[in-house]
Amino acid sequence: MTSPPGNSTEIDPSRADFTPVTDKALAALPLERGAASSVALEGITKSYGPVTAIRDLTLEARAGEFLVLLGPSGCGKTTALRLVAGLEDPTSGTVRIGGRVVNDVDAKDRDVAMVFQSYALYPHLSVGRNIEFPLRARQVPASQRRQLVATVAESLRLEQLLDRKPAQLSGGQRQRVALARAIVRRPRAFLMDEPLSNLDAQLRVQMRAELVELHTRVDITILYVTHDQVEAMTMGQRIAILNEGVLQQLDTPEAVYGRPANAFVAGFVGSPPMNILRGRAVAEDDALWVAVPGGRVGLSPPLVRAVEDRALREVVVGLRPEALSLDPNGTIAAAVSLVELVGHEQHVALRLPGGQLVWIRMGSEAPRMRTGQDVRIAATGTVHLFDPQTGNLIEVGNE
Amino acid sequence: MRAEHRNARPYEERHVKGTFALRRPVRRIARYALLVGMAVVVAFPIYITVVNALLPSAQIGARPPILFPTHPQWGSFRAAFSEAHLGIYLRNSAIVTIGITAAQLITSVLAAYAFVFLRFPARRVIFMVCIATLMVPLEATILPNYRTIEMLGWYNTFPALIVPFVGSGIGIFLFRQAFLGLPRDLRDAATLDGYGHLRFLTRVVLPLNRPVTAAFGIYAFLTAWNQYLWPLLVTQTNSVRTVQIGLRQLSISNFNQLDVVFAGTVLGALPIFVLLFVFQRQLVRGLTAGALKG
Amino acid sequence: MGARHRARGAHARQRPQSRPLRKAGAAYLFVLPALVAFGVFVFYPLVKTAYLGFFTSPPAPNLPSHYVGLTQYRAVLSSSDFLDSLWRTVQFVLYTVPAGIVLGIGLAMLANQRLAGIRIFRTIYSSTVATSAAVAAVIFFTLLNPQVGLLSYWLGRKGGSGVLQSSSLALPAVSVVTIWQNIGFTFILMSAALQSVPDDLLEAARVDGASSWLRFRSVTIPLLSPMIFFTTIVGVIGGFQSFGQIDILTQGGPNNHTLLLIYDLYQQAFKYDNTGYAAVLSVALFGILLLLTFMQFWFFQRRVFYAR
Repeated sequence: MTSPPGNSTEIDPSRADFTPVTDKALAALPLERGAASSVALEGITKSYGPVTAIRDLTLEARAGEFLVLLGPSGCGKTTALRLVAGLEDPTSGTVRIGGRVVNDVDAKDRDVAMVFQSYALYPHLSVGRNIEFPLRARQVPASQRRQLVATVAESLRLEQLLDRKPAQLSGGQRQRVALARAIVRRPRAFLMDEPLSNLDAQLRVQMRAELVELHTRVDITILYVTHDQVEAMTMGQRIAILNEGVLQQLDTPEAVYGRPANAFVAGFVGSPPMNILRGRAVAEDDALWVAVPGGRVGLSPPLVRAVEDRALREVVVGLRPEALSLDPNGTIAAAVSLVELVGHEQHVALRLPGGQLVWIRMGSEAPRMRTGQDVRIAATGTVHLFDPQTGNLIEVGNE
Repeated sequence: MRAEHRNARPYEERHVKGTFALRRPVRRIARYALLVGMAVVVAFPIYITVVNALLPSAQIGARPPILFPTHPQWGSFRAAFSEAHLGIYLRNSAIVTIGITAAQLITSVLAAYAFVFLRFPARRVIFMVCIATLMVPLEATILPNYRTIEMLGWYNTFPALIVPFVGSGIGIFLFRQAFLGLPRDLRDAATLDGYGHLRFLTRVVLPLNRPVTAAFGIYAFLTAWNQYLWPLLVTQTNSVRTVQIGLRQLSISNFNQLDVVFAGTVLGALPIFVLLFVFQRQLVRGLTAGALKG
Repeated sequence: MGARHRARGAHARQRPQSRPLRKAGAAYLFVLPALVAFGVFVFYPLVKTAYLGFFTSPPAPNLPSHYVGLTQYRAVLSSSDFLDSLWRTVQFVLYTVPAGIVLGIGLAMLANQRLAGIRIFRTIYSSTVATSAAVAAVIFFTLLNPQVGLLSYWLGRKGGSGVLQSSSLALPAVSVVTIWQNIGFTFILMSAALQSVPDDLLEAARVDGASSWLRFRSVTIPLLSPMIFFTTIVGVIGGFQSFGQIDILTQGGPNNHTLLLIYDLYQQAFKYDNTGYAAVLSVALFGILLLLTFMQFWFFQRRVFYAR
């Protein structure tokens, strides 16, 4: 979890009085519906004419889970969300909410709420009316509507803003109104489509914490779409990583980081990204090495076994930036290309003789290096071994 | 602009110096004279119509002409309203115009909504067909339309005046343009909030598009109110004649009562004058947009 | 994001299962009212009119009409009657459109000055937009009446034959009435265009020492030119459709001297029951207006292109 920002330079009224959403207020919502439900896609394919946006996707968010769909733009994650909502229809496959097949259920009857990247607030309605809007559609009696709106507004600190129009709100306030509109009817699941991407960096960090807090205190299922791997790592209980419409991996943040299913996931999760090096397997000095541009990387016994079992001649290894370190006796020669100081640590980009960049992570107390300086590095941490043909993870081993 | 004149002054003073003080007021008077002169030319026909409506019939042809009614008599308006049937004509025009305007608003909004928010086969083709109607003038269709009306037994009825105009290509075009400006997410949000198409249309889309609705409403109203050729063809009795045709009847048949003719003209033009006075801004928008069709 | 937008565009081609079908059904219900109206009162009659042009009307009612193919089209469109009414219509357009635009620009320039009470003048100049062709025509019909008409009196025509009864003056008189009726409309459009001319451009020209005529010619007019073009096309289309003022003022007379194309069409169709002849005139009118509308669309698209 990233720590909340210390002292902000500008005072934003929306975050000056940060109080967590109270579970009591939300539990008091007098609604009969809305037990958090599981949400499942089973063998979903979605094509638009010749373009296939999603290919045979199967994943499930368990009841009450915070599941993040992560991937680059165009990977199909938003489409997946819209399929769950009923805003799109799958070409084939089954959508289940709470175990029930909903393929033929209209979006309005699926009882899910969505928070849009643009917030999609109704510009002509006041904040109060916006929050009330879904209740009016469901013919909730007026007195109950008022009470619900008041409760939700209070728990999201919107009670002072109920008469404002969306245009008069800050980004963070709009975000909370969109949340309030989703919460007020206690849906079976929340679908969130990059809800934080329009906020400035500081507010995003704060809203991240608020959302996680909301989820831990209230029994809700959240399906959360983002392209930001930091959001995914910090918020999701599990992360589903998609690329080009295909699910790459569905697992906890720790597992996704520690045992990425393939080179794509390895490269997408983590910042700076994992260094992926391609080389030949060579036997030198009574050991098996991977010859890479600028030197060689040693393999631990499990990895050696894996390489020998498969009789691999070409090998792809992945090393997190923290698995490499500067070492005058290191096995790889490189030149410093770029030094990024990010407060508590430095990220250093090194250029290998072949031109490829590798990143290493160092403490901020380490001496700053000059660009162009020649160095040697050694693999000191976990080495991931990938299949050179498929890119799939074969084995993880320590040096 | 005031400020601009002041800024410009030093420059002018450098160049025109002495004459400046003299020329300024002269030029201003000349400008006002021109403004007033043109105002008289433009407004005179309307002014003299009102004046003549207030003069006794005998004084209208008086020479030298009387340009101000010293003893206005208002009876001509009553006569025009009842005996010259302006009351009925106005009522008929109101029925026809409101009917056409309402129908055009409804059909155009519905169709435009479908073109923007719904996906269906042949959507583009159907839209092109609607826009193509902009290229077909009424005059190219009156012969068969007249027969259709006769065949339906609608001759000399309100449906004959209203039904042929319930669709509007320009309306569909304008509303589609306006609706395209709405974020798509709003429709998705409303869907999940439980709103079907009709309720989304009335609760969200229309409230957010009041300006274009007003502009098109005014345009449709004005166009329908001013129609001449078609009402002339399909009406025969005063009970359904619109104001425009009524004025024609008035000028033909009441020439011995000129004050009534003038009063009737004033009455016939009055509703639009009032309307335009109230909705000036929407009118400009409506005219510029509507001028597409001409 | 990108994928989603692409996805939407392609969605129309993709139609599986029952839910989407239901949705498409709703869509057709939405477009149906307009489509039915267009079908019955625009497209059907358009085709039917062209078809009617293939038949000559019988000399007396209740006799059968004769199919003559394109013969009638050829005969009518080359007849001197048609060419005369077409030429008169062109004359009418030439009388009304340029004069109307010049007047409109003039009044808009006048009323664009920052002077006390200018709003009153703006209201007056735009007032005739509220007059229909019939209102304008009835007003001038009495004003031009040779016995009691004020204008006849001032023109020194009291007692004699009226302006509207003169073969040489009738069309100009009808044109003047039309110009007057349209002046409010043109004024409003030109004012709107003029107000969008940035002040600083004119000020820059002024500082450069340009005379007011030069400023007008080299700054104002070029910036107004889109609106001038627009008003011209709209005016020409309107000219070809002018009917009410003819019907009230002259009924095409005297001696056919104000017999415009559309009035000819009306008389042939509904006075002489010469349906075939009128149908050909309809098609001709449609063709001319179609051409003008295309010019307008072409222009409109270009303008939209430049603006955004």
